[in-house]
This record gives sequence, structure tokens and C-alpha cells, in this order.
Amino acid sequence: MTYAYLGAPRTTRQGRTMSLMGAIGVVAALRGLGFVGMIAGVHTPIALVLPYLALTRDASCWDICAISRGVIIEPPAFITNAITAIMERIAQRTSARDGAIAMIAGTLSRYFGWRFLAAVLAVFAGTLVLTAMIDFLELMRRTADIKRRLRHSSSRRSRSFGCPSSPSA
Amino acid sequence: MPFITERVMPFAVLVGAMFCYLNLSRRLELVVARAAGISAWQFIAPAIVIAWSDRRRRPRRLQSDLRATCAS
Repeated sequence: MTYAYLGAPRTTRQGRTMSLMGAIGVVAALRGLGFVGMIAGVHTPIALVLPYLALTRDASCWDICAISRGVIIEPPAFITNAITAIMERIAQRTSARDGAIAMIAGTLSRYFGWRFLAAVLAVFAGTLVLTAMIDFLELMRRTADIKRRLRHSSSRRSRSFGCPSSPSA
Repeated sequence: MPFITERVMPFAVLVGAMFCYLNLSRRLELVVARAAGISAWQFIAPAIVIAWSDRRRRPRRLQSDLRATCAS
């Protein structure tokens, strides 16, 4: 599909990028469609047909036919225009004057993000340790007299069966 | 463990965010960030993202909790 999407030979790299992005998009859509079909199939069995339909589209060799016949698949003009505008804006933002400020902002943002994550994880770990300790203490409290209870229950059982109680009891 | 995580995580995010920004403010790192050209929105972005994701997740869980309570 990627080769079919490459289109006619050209000097820029735009065709290659677009074809790779298109291939990734179609694969992601196919995977998402399969997931949606499997999930929706629990309640609506007809939805199970969706992944098979999508696979049929891939297995039908349309792309091989397009390559062999020399069909040129081009993305719509508004998509290429939008991508060109976005690339121009990025190029303007990362120009020589603003490059240093953008780099400082990115580094500091990453630093703040890591500090935030470290603080959240520290609080989370502290709470977990506290919870585990309290649970452990509660477990110790409940099982403190387990030997006495076991002895008591075994003596009651032996008495109910008419057997003499064990010497340890 | 997952149950405890689900209960503790919002609390941990709240206290962690307060702790983090208090420390940053105390050591004047926020002042440096503002001087370097970072807006307040940029340095509270992690907290906003986490709060927004938690807000989107919360109502569904509350509904399921309510349903479980009503069923019991």
C-alpha cells in the first residue's frame, strides 16, 4: 500500500512522507476497527463481520493492482496545504532568534514535569507503605491468639465426637 | 493493590502537586522559569493534564460505584 501511495517519481520527499503516514494511518485504523468489532460483537454479533470486511479489503490486492496499472494515488490538496502551513509555523518558531528560548522552555518544562512526577510518586509510595504497615499490624492483631483459638476449637471437636481430649489441650 | 491504587492516586496527585509547587516556589525556581519566558500555563501543564484525565475518568467510576451500592 505504501508503494502504491508513493505516486509518481518526484524530487521532493513529500510523497514518501505522505505514503508512510498514510500506511501507518491505515494500519492503525484497521487495528482499531478490529478492536471495535471484537468489543461490539459481545452485544451485537453482526459487528464481528467488521474486522473480516477490513481484512478482505486488505487481502483483495487492490494496491498491487494499483501498482501494476500505474495508478497515482494523491492525497487531497487541503491536507497537503494544511501540512505545509503547519511545517512553516514550526520552522518560524524554531528560527535562530527563538531557538534558544524554545530550548530553555522545553528543558525547564521537562524539569518541572519530572519534579511533579517525583513528588506524586513519593506521596503515592508513602501512602502505600503506610497502608501496608497498618494492614500488617491489623493482621498481627487478629492472629495474635490463633493458637488459643485452634486449641479451643480442637478440644470442642473432640468433645463433640465423644473422644477424650488430647493431652496438650 | 489495584483497589488501593485507585483510591489513593487522586489524593497522591493532589498532595504531590501541592508539595511540588510549594518546593519550587520556596526555592524561587518558579521565578526563574517566569524570567526565562515560561508562562504559568506551561509549568502547570503536567498538573492540568493529570487533572483533566482524572476528571474524564471519574464520572464513569462514580456511576459504577453508585450502581454497585444500589444493587447491594
